[in-house]
Amino acid sequence: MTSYFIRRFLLIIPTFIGITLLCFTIMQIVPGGPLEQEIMKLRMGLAARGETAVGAGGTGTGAIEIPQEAMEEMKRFYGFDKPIHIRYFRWIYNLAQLDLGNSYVFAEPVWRVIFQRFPISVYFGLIGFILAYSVCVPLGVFKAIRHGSPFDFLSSFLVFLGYSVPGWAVGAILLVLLGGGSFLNVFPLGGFRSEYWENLSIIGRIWDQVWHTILPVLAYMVGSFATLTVLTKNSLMENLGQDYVRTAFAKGLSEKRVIFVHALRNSLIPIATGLGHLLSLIMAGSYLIEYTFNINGMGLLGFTSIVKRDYPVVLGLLVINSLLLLTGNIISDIFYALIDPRIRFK
Amino acid sequence: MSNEVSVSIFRKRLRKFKSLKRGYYSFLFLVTLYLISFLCPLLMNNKALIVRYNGTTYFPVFKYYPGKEFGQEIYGEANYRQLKDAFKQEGGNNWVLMPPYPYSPYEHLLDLPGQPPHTPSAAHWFGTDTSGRDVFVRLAYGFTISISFALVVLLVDYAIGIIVGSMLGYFGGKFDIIVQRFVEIWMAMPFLYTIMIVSSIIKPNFFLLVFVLGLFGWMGMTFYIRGEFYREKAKDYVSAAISIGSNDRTVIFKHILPNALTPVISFGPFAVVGYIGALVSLDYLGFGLPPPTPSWGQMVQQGMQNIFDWWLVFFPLGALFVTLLLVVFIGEAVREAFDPKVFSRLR
Amino acid sequence: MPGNKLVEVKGLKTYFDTEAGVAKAVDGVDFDVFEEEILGIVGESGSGKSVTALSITRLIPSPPGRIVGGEIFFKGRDLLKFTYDELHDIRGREISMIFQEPMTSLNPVFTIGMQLREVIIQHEKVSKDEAQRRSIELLESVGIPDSRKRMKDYPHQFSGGMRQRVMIAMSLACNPSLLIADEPTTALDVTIQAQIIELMLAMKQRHTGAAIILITHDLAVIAETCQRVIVMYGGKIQEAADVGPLFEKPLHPYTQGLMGSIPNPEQEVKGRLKAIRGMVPSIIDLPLGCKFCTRCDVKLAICETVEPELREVQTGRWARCHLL
Repeated sequence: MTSYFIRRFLLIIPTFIGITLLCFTIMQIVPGGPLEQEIMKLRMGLAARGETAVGAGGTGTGAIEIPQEAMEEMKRFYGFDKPIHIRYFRWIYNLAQLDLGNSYVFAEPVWRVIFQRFPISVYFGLIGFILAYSVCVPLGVFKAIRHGSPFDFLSSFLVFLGYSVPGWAVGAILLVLLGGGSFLNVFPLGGFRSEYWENLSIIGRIWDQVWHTILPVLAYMVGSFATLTVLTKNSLMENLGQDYVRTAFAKGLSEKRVIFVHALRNSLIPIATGLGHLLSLIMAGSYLIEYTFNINGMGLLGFTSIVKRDYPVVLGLLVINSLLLLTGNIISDIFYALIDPRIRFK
Repeated sequence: MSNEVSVSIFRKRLRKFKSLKRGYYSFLFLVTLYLISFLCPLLMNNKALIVRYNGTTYFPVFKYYPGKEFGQEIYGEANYRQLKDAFKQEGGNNWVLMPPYPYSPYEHLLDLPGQPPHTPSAAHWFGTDTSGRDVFVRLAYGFTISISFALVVLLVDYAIGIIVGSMLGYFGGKFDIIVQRFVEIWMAMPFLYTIMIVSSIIKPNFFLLVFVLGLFGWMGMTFYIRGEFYREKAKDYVSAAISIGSNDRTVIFKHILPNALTPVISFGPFAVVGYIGALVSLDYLGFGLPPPTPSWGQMVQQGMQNIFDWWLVFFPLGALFVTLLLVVFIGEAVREAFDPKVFSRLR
Repeated sequence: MPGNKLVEVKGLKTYFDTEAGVAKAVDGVDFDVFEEEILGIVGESGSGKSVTALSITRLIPSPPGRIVGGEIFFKGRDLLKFTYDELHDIRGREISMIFQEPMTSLNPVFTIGMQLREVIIQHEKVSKDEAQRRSIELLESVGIPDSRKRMKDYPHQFSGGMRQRVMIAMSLACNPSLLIADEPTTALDVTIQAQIIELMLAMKQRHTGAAIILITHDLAVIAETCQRVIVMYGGKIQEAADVGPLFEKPLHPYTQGLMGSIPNPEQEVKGRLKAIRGMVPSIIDLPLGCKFCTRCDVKLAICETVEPELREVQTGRWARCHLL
């Protein structure tokens, strides 16, 4: 197993370099890069002093001309005269120190902007994740054991729902139905807490929080209903047809023991390895669900910063997301190696 | 003794597919609907099919005619609905034949009572959106676009997947490891987010969007096919083919591919579900097809901003649900026919 | 020497439902197994021998297979009428089975030790330590060196032959009266085959009273180990006899064909190997009369339409053929 891990970790390095290179390249191509940001600030500064009429918006389309020497000076100052690989390494260096630059919109360091929204995304992601696994895995096991029964048939409807409707769409429909408007008014339109949350009692606060959490978490779970449930069911059923199950029965073990000890342990392997992606799932925050429910998490931040052209934040999120996905893969591999003795004891 | 002529495996699977009623009928229904939807311009349009005016026959559906041509005192294109009423009132030999549902997805119906968006009514089955455009028509046109989009992306992904995946699985070795690293890097990019970024920069049209989706989504299919090729390559019939002197291309395309494709085909419908879902999600966020393209996602977006106007959310999402459900039924049937899993139980 | 009747199979029929029709894998099989004997069931693939064995312990995969008729008496009680609880009690304790594929017959995620102990704990009220002790002993007795340490190993850390030894150990852990071995050596190298057969015989000596049903397509193994032999074809018994007489003078044309197709290294003139012509018919589409008629060289007209009965044509010799 050690050799497996060493090899795995060594392979991370080129992948990591590749990802950061890709993000870096995108950063250079995207309009409104760091240099242009400074130029824009300069232009706006000059305009504020009433020097010349500025063009529309903050996109740097002002009619101001900046003298050539000043441009050269700025380039040198921000390191743009240096060759691209030096810029890359500088950027990586900054990255390692969590310095992702400053947000255009919030005039704050990017990492702080992101970090503020981190807890909210984690909150929804974690709850959704835990609920999904605690509902869908037993459901899948049940469906496998009762394959073909009416229960299997009925619960398949839920599975089809999960396959065919994206989570945010379910959220949207639920909102229309239950969030006020033309129908029932059971749940709030979104957000994390009510505005007057501070004024509520402890019980009131808890209830208000839960009230706001239910619909978004349901939306998060919809996708898992299809994938996780079906994965569990198929995995278990496949294992129930394996030779070692026949041996277990031939030994006279009870059906319960064969299913829940022998077969289940094997069938949980592919599911457990999915746990590795918990990290990226939680952190990334679904753009679509946060958008639908107006939840101020990392997902919504990602969306609004693209719209507002807040490129430092956009790229900061891109890098973070990518690295999280990579980490998730690695953690999955680690889980897999730990759980499956065929890999653990090579 | 039976005298059954040996039927090719494909034919057998096709027969099995046809016997699975739910999937097969979904397939027929969806295909029929899709083909009919190409006739949308003839079925739902604000341009008349035929106009008979002063002895001449015109086909405005195919050609632009200014209002003045028919004696209307307006600027720009003729208003055929008005023309129809006018001719009827005159009672002469002039008549207008309108499509069955005489509204276009792009026109803003500002002459209806009240403010847009309008609730569903007899004239406008699904109501109108905030700009006064008929929802039903936009839904129908959006149907064609959504499915066409998914089919094109499917083709692109299959093409890339087969070419690259087969090479990776067949040749393996260093080539495989290097490319795998690239793929890992590519896969680490968050799919939706990257597309959103790219889309915000280049503001794509239909085909560019296909390209972007294909660019960031080809890995799944390719990996799948690669896995199949790895498995098949180890089998004896491949060694046999090589030993009789077949070259690589023959082995890949003639021998391995038909076997490797089986699980891949069953993956197709679910990939389509994914593509349609991605398109609708992108449109919903505003990073998909440009306005005023009738797209379901865009309609839902509008609907969420006007939550009292439930028809703006219900009908597009309902259409999405039904469409995707049908595709899932098709997918289940295809998988059952092509890649059936027999689950035995012991007790 | 064989004692009382241990197993009585009467009219066993096991069918499989397939898309192409009903496959009558076992279609009316009657035989007995006596205490302490080694009975061999031999036949080609598709003859129904494995299915017969699996039917005894009712390990037929339930869709698509089902036992449609017959009775299987074990120590006087009909196994086919047992409840599942009674069945689970008998399996592993009174009747054990070992299978053909040692590579996949063991659970890959549990240690050998665990899989051995659980058989003992399941059937006998002993402590975990006692089960551990006995398991170690068992491993040693089947010839696995360093057994205490190897209890903690996983199946993939054993070779094929060793895994089969473990299977044998597991099957004999509770001193069963009957051991059913379904092609135990087919998936192993020839040299390992010999070892495993030897091991099985040695274990039988130690576990007095145990009978073995040995299923194989290998006539050599039959000749070496069995006392009585049943020849199956097309889901039915075609011939049954003691091993000596069967090999000396096979009566049924099919058995004769089988014997004739064994290569003889001592043969002076190296002629062509006499194979039985034709192919095994699909079990969905068996011939109407005698199941072997499509490949028989000495068939009569009646063979194609009327199926012969299994009759005792000589003392202790049964055959299903119109010619006898």
